[in-house]
Amino acid sequence: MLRTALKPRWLALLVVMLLAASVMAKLGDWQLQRAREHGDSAQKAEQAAESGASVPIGEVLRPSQTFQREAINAKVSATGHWSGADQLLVPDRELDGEPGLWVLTPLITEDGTTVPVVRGWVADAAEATEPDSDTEVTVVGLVQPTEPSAVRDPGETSGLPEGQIDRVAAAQLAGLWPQPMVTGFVVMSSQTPQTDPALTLVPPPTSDGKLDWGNVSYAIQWWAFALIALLFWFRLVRDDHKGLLRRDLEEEDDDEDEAAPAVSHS
Amino acid sequence: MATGPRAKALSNALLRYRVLAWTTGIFLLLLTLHIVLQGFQAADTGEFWFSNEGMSQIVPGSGHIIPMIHGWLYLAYVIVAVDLWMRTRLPAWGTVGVVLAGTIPVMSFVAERWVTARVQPMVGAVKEKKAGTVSS
Repeated sequence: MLRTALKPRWLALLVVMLLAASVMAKLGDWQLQRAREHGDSAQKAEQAAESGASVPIGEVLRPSQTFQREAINAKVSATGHWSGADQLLVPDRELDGEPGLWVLTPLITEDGTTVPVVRGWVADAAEATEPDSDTEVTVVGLVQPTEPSAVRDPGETSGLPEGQIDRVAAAQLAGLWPQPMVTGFVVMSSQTPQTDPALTLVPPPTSDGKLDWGNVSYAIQWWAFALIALLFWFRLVRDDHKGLLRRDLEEEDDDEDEAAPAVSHS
Repeated sequence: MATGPRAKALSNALLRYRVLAWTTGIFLLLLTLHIVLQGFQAADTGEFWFSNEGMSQIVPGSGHIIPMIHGWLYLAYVIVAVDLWMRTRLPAWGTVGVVLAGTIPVMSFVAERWVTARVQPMVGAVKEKKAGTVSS
């Protein structure tokens, strides 16, 4: 058996199979990493929320720059003026399982950049108050990537009341708010000086320590494929050892190596 | 050796393969549809391709479930295809092709025809043996 396995063609195939298997195993690792990233991002948010340090928003998010993955849940500060007149409400946003709306207000920073900020949460649209737009405020919060816009047929509208928007989507906000605007938004955790009355703040995403099962499945599948590739090689060698592989012209069509149905041999 | 059960086992293995070739093929078409939809949505949203909703737009949650089910079905497809190869010793390269065909939309249906055309006569050959005829 070993001598059969050491035949050049089987050794060559073993190298190919091992290469394939190691690539598959790597891909499995990569998928597992992606599955964990899910939990990591939420963990990062918790850590960032607890630590006091924040960086100026310009260091993480700039208009005209594509959104960097690393920016997700970064704790940033931004100084500027609210544009209360442009404030929007985002319906269908739960807080502790209670239905409500997000209050989304543009903050115009000193250099004229618009930053979409989720100022807080209200249970009812009527509770949303407009912030004072004259005072200069400093906002601290966590960066979130822009949400995908709702896809609608041409001419179809969201059907929402005036002043409401279904997604915090840069593409949808672009037409409503002054430009330039950053891609992504900030979920506010504090504001100085405070606006009265203060809204209920939206908490950062909490880590549930859960793995993404879609990625975990892929990881397991890749490892299974790696194993199957090696078993395939093993069976080929064993067949050769038993003399099952022989050049059978009748069976040979698109294949150069092996053919002969087992049923006609055993 | 009783050949009746062996013929039965082979035809069962073939049936298993055919069922999985079809289900995997159908889910691969759904997956393709999902990804194509995501592409169209990406054009609308300006988002990264795979972060779009895809099929979830039509059936909530399906965008997550379809790739996952397809992944497991494909794994089963590979196992069953290799199992069938172990029983029949179809050309090994052909089997590699059959396995890869499961990753290309529509090709698994073609592979299913290729395999069935070759394995069906083998099932017959096993039965002939039982009847006392010597197969080549």
